[in-house]
Amino acid sequence: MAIDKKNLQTVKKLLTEYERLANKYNLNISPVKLKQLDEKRNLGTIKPTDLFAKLRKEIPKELENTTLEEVKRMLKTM
Amino acid sequence: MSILAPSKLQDLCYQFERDSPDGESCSDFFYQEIVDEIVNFGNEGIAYLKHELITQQNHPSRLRAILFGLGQLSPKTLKERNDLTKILLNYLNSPFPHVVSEAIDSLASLNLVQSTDRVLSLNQHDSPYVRGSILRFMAKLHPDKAIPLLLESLESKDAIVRENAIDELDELNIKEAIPYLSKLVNDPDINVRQSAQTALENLLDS
Repeated sequence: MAIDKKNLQTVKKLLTEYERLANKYNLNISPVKLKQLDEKRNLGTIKPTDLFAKLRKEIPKELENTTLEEVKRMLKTM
Repeated sequence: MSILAPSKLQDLCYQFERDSPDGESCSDFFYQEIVDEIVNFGNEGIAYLKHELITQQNHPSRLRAILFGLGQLSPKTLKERNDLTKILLNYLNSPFPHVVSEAIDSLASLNLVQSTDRVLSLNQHDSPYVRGSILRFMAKLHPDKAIPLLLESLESKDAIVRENAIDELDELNIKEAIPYLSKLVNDPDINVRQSAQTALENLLDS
C-alpha cells in the first residue's frame, strides 16, 4: 500500500487520540500504559508499535515504525 | 532431571488465566494484549484460544479478547473461513455487549461479507457500542452503502454512535459530511467534539 495523505492522517489520529479511541472501543487503558503513551506523545516520539493491539491493527505496515514527529513532517510536505 | 523453563506461550497462557493486575476495569485491555501475542504462536496459540472459548463462557473480558484474536487470523481455506464465521456469528447473541461488538469487529476484520444481514439485524441493539461497531463494519465492508447510515448516525442520541460515525466518515473521506461536522465541533460530548474537529481538519485538508 502506498503512503498517501489519508494514511498519514489516520496514523496521526491514532498516535494522538488513543485515549478517546480506546473509550470508543469500550477499552480502559491501564494507567501505567496511558502514562507511557502520554509521555511519548508529548515528545513526539510515539510510534504505532507503542500503541495497544486494537489500534495497532489499523496501521498500514509501511508506517508502523514512524514517529508522530515524522508523520507530522510528512503531512506538511503533502 | 532438569526442569525446563516455561515457554513464552505457556507464560502467556498463564497470564491469560489469571486476574488483570490493573483491576477489573482494565481487564478487556489486559487480555487483548496477551491474546495478540498468543496469536503470533500460530496453530498452537490458536488451538489454545479455541479451547479457551469453551472454558471462558462466563468471563466476558477473556471471551472478548479471544474473539479479537480470532479476527487477526488469515483463514486459508473455505472451511476455515466458514468455521470462523460460525464461531463469530454465534457470539452476536451474547448477553455481553462488548463481546457482541468485538465479534462484529472481527467479522469486519476478516471481510466476512456473508454476515452482513445478521450484523445489520442488530442495528437497534440497546448498546451504543454495538451500534458503533455496526457502523465500523459497514464502513469497511460496504463503504458506499454505509454513507447514508453514517450521516444519519451523526444525529444519534448516543455520543458513542455519533463519534463512530464521524471517525468512519473521516476515514472514507466523505466531504459531504463537512457541514454536519461544523456543527458537531460544538457537541455537548467532549469525545464527539474532538473527533469532529479532527475529521473536519482532515476533510478540509485532503
